[in-house]
Amino acid sequence: MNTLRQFRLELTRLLQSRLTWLAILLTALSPIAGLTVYRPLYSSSDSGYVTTMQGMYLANPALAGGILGAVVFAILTVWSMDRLRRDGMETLTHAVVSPMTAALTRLGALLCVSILAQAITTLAWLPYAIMKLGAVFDVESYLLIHLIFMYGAIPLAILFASAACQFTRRADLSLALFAAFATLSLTVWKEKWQLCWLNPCVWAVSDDFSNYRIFRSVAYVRLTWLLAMAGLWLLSYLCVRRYGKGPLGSFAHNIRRFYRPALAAVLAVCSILLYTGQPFVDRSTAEMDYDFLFCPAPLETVTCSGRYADVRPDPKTGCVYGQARFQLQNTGGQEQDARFQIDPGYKIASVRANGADVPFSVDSYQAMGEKMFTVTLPAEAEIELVIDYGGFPQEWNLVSATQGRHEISDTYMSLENHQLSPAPFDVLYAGETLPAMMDIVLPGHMTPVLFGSGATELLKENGDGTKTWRMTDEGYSMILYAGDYIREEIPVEPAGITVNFYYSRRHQSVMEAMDAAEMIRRTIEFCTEHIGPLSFYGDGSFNLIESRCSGGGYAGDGASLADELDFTANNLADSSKGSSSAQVTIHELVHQWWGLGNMFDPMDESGIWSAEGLTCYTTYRIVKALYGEREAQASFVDAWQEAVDDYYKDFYVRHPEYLSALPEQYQADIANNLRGMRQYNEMPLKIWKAEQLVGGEEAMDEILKGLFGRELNPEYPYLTYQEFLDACHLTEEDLNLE
Amino acid sequence: MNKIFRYELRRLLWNKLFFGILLVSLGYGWLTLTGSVVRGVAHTAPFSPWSFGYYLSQALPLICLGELFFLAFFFSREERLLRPLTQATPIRQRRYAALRCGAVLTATLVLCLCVAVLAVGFYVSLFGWVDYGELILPALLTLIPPIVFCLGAGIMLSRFNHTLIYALMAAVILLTVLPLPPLTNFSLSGFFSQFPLTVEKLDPAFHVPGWLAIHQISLTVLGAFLAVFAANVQRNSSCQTM
Repeated sequence: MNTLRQFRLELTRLLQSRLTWLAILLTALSPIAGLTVYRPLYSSSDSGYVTTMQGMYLANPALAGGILGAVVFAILTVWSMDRLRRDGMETLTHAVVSPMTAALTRLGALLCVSILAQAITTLAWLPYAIMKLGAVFDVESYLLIHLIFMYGAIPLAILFASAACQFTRRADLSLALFAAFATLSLTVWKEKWQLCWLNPCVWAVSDDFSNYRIFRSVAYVRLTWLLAMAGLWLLSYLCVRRYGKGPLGSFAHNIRRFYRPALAAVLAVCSILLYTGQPFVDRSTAEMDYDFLFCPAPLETVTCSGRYADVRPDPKTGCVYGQARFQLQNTGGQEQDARFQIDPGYKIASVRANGADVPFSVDSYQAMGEKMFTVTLPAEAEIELVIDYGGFPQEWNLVSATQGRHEISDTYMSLENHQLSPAPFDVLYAGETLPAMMDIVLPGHMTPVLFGSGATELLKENGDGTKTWRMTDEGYSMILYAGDYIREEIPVEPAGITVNFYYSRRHQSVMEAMDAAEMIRRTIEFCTEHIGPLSFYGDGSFNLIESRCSGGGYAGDGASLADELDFTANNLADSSKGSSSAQVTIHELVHQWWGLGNMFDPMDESGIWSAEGLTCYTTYRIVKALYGEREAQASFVDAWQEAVDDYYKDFYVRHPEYLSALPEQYQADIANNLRGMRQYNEMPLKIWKAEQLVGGEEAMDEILKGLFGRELNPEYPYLTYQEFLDACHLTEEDLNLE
Repeated sequence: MNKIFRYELRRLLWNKLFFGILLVSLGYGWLTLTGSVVRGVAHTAPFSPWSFGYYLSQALPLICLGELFFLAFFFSREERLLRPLTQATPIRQRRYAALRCGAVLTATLVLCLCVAVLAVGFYVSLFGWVDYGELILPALLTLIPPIVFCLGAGIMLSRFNHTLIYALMAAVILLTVLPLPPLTNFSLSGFFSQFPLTVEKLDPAFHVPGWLAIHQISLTVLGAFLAVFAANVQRNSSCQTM
């Protein structure tokens, strides 16, 4: 029988089976699990599940759908493969159709049905996604998430289940093997980004910016496994029983056609090559080698007086190419080996000193997400060193399960330090500072935002729709964010600064609806006046930049980064941070004072003293100043009191012996939940009580001002609860709420 | 009679449908236990009658759906085609219908028992000891009235058209999902999670307010009445066809 006709018949037979349609229905319903019970994406809040809207309503359901869909199709595959043997029709059928052809067409039909199931799922969930995501919905992301996060797992399951059936010819054993393989991915391989074939390591997806980096990474893993599974399937195909022979006899017969085992071997080799040669994550050593970041012994006779780079990121491939120039002085009168740091994903094409090629060697050792190369500088007093470099930026393998930070696409770019250009490691500045200039070519619609106090200016518009921007700053490091940003200038008179608020155009409606600019102005005014100016205010201006979700913000000289997770509809509706989106925005902004950098010990997870206590209290004070006492009392103090009352009534708080008797997992869940509540409610209420005890708001402002501007102890720079109590001249017992 | 009852019961219990419903109910029950019940409902212990009642209330819609699926099984097309044969047997149709009702009720109670045993096993494994006697009243209060009502309403509706059982399933889901006032609410989860908070002292002993007792008794009586009435309707129609 013709293979194509056989395939058509097999597909028709499958589509006429009720079990097939049940599998399609279950696959279409499976994303529901991602809305309720299986939410693998990171939550940025302790008080509730907060992730981006696309994460909440698209990525989580797609990831859950991928797992459940894979399980459903594995069962369908085993059922379908075992049907003939179960019904005792195998001998008859094999008399008409070759078992090899039957295996091939059956696999093809199952894959076609899986495509149909995915198409139905994607179409069925489209209206829901449009409704839930609103302004942040885009078709491309929707299709890519469904295709890569969800569908990517299903063919792998079909191939594995089919291979297991062909090897073992037993349904129960095949299902057990599949269960073991799936369990491996869900448990032991869960944090190993290349091994978790069923549940890819997706940490967050962005609403306002692009997600191509994580899409590429997951697609790469899927492809690696697809080749491996295809190879495994081909191997099992060789074991398809023929002429009443056993597996070995059939294998010996089937390998007579040389291309079959050859193809299986090629697929397996390709898969191994993809696995070992992955371009996404570096090969840093597992040890934390801090000497790799900070040079202990700089060169005594070599200095650098200036640097320039011409950087050309390619949004289509996610690669960066560039040429870096350094003005170096070699006063030693002899050749010197200077070391440079560069992104581990980049290759050095050439190094020239004063126009002549000079030898260089790239170290194989990588650590802390960096690699180094050594250049032999000539014995000349003034050297212009030109380095041509380029490649795909790699992320540190320590955080390989949370990829996506180094996004380079035509909608967003995040280029930090050595991803922009290599920099000398053991060469000191010639003067007090090092003038740095960089030209970068970006898509025309992008606005570059330089982190820190540097400046950007449009140099020229190129004919191909791109623009060249010039960035000027100081030092070896430069951090650039570029995207479709809206820039809003917010003058804050008491602070004497202008805040440049950069946020994604996709978020414009949300920002305007809650009058974010006004909230920012008033918050900065209040905090500057009552707590003190931020140490990282620039010279008359301060850049507040909304960044792609990266697990939190950070601040530096004249700039601060606010994670987009702070502005998601989900977070803005978090009642523990405020009763309206404007109040939550104030809360997130107050974190610029309480919570950035090393203000609170991140390792101290035992107590309830954290950035949230002072942040919630300060938010209450701002809301009181802006909206009046009644609203502040209702939204904060009453809500805290209610939550604290509930806390003291909680069964496990009253009976800790039952909590300690629970298994660790339950203990941790309950303790985390209670701690989150206490951090957001009990601690601000204690601070509010302290305010009453120290003599009112003005007295508390003075205390907070003192704590905020205190002299730091370099060995332990964190603000502790005891320091707060000491500043208030109170004891822990004074603030007891019971 | 016993033989027929056992046969009908075995048809229901030794069935993929029953195992499917049981699996889903136990899965959902486990999620409820590990998600919300383990925290304790309304500041009471996870093994308090209030928390246990809340757990059963959460599982109740699935149990009722299971019961309606059992009924739908007896009123399926295949069963209706067989009716002339069963009507030709010497057994009285009313008694035969009652036996089938009993089989459905027993299968549903087996389902309830499995769900309850899951919770008790959970309590024993985590807390070591449970006062089983305390759990009986909330179980009876939560399960029996809706189960009897669904049985009566299901049989009654199937007299008109067997597809109406599926409409009743949808109604059960809606009554559970929609935020309705306590008296019209199908599930008692709101009662178990809110009522203890209205009592001034912590860990209140389990008691049933009068309005709820009347409500649940009315529901049971209504269900029983519908079942008996439907059986009478069937007998009359059987006489006419004969």
